Parts: sequence; C-alpha cells; structure tokens
Amino acid sequence: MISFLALFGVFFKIGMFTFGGGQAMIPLLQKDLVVNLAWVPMKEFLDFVAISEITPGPVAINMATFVGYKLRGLTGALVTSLGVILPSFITILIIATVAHTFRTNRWVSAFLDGLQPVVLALLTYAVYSIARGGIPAWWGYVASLGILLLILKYGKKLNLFLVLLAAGGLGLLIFR
Amino acid sequence: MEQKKLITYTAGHAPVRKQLLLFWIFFIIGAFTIGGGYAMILMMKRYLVEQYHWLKDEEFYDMLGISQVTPGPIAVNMATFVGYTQGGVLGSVLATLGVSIPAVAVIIVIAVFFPGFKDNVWVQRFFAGVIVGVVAQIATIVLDLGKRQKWTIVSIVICATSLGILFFVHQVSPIWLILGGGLVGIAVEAFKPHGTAPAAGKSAS
Repeated sequence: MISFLALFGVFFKIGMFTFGGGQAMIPLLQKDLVVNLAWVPMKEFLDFVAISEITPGPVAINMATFVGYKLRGLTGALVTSLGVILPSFITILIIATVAHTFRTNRWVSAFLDGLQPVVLALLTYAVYSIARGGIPAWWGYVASLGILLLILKYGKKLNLFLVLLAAGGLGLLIFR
Repeated sequence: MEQKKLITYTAGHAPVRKQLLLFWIFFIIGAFTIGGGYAMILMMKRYLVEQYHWLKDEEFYDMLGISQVTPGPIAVNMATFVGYTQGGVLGSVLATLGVSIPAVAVIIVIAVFFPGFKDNVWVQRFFAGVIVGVVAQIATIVLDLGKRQKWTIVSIVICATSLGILFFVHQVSPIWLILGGGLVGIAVEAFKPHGTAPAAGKSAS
C-alpha cells in the first residue's frame, strides 16, 4: 500500500516545480504517476484529466484529489490536495510578507513592466488553445463572440456564473 | 518612477468579518468557475477590483503576473496573495481553503457517486457550452489587459515575440517567457539614460 507520506511527497514536489498554473502540471503528473511510479494506469489518468477539466476549481487540485482518493480513500484525497497546495501557499506567503516595496522598487517595477506583455500573450494563447480544443463547431465561436460582446456591453450588471450556466444550457441544445 | 503603493496593508488588524468574507468570495470563485485558473480571472477581478475595491486594476494584474512566476496553481497563488494582503495570515489560509474546498469536494462526490460522469453525453454537451462562455470571459480579460497595457516599442516587441513563440514553438513552459519578459524589462531600465523618468501610468479606471 502506498504510504500517505509518499503520496504527499509526490504532489508536494509537483506543486513546487510547476510554474504557470495547473495545466502545466499535467505532463509532470503523468510522468510521475503513470510512468515512474506506475500508481495509475494511463487510461484512468486520462479520465482524471478529462473530469478535472470539466469540474469547478483549479485543475491541479481536482487531479490531486482524484489520485489521492483512488489510491488511499478520503484521507488520501486530503493528503494529496494539501500536498499540491502547500508549495504555492508558502511561496506566496513569503513573497507577500516581503513585498512592501513591490512597485516602489525600481527593478521590481521594471521586471513587472516587462512581464505584463507576456501575461497578455499567455492569455491570448489560452483563448486560442481552449477554443480550439473545446469548441466543437463554428457557431460555437460565434456564440463565444456574442457572449464577449454581452460582457463588454453590460459589464458589472452581468452575473458571470449565470453566463457560464446559460452557455452550458446552450451547449445542451445545440452541440451534437 | 511611479510611487504607487501596491498593497493596502490591512494585514494584522483585519476584522474577522473581512476574513470570513475572503473565504466566502474565494469559495464562490472556486465553486462557480469551470475550466481551471484562467477561467477564474474575470470573476476574481469583478469581486476584488470592481465590487470590493480591495485592489486597483494595476495591482490586480501585477499579482496575476507574479502568480505565474511562482509555483503552483494560479488560483491558489491569487487566493493566498489577496488573502494575506487583505486579511493577514488567517485571511490567506481562509482564502486558499475557500478556493480549494469546492475542487476537492466535487471530485470526491464524483469519484464516489458518479464514476461514469464524463461519458454522459449531456455532461459533454453542457461542458462544450461552458467552454464557449469561458473563452469569452478570458477574451474579456485579454481586451482589458491590452487596453491597460502601456504600449511602448519594448512592450510590443515582448508581446509579439511571446505570441510567436507560443504559436510556433510547442511545449514551451510559460515560466521561461515570463522570466524572459521580466529580464528584458530590467535590461531596458538598466540602459535607460539617467533622468528620463517614464511617463506616469495611465490613470484608467
């Protein structure tokens, strides 16, 4: 039986060494869990990924919970989730504690100025890759554009969760 | 040189009510955004910048940038960051728990009760629809960020180069792009002639 410590260790390590969000974790998780440790068969792993992407919350936490639950039940799920959360939590806490001088420091400010256009590029690419991977038909793109215009026009008055729910309802009706 | 204070430090003497509010807001964000961290950005901005005015636009995007250079899920990074600056250590714990608990709970429910969940055709159609909404929400953030960006030759080059790499070089980790952009920013600052302070940031609201 896999020990809780080993479970925690794997997810802590992955949480520590992946940058740029949860999606970046998937290849690393696959390498560790499927190939190196052989804890999870490939097919099951892909199922986990598919479900994590269509459930609420960060994909990394979804994945951790899934694997932990499958291997060691409820306690396992809590152990893996904690493992994947703690490295980010600790890192950010340290940064936030010393960050009094964020934009007041010339170099940090310059770093942030150089980084912002990259964030813009990353988000633009995310729009492209999520749309390409997840929207099954051309009128899906049209609907997406329509929703974008709605958000831009009505701004704060629009409940974003209801927008997603309505989009899901639309999917039920029109996607085959 | 801008002298804007990034963070309004109320940490340490944040009222308990605010800490509970932090938990609640991040719980809602965690529970109602499907599709991972990027899908959460717009809702976070709604709550943190527009509704509660805890952060200015610029501060929010700075945090978003930093969340991408630090390890771990962006949603967790943002929650910890905002939680700490608004509610101290307890605030950061509560905000992080808030954004994580829905993700853990929903997976346990699915693993226990609905193992065939993802093969259900209605689930698949519903999700395809949700993606349509998610794409629109991320596109909204792209437009907002593009509008706020101080467009200079340097920032245009950084953005265009990053896009080129993302579209044409596959399997590149975002961390290298982020660090590269940041280092270019530092280099530009280092080679800037003395005494020419950059123009004050746009005060878009």
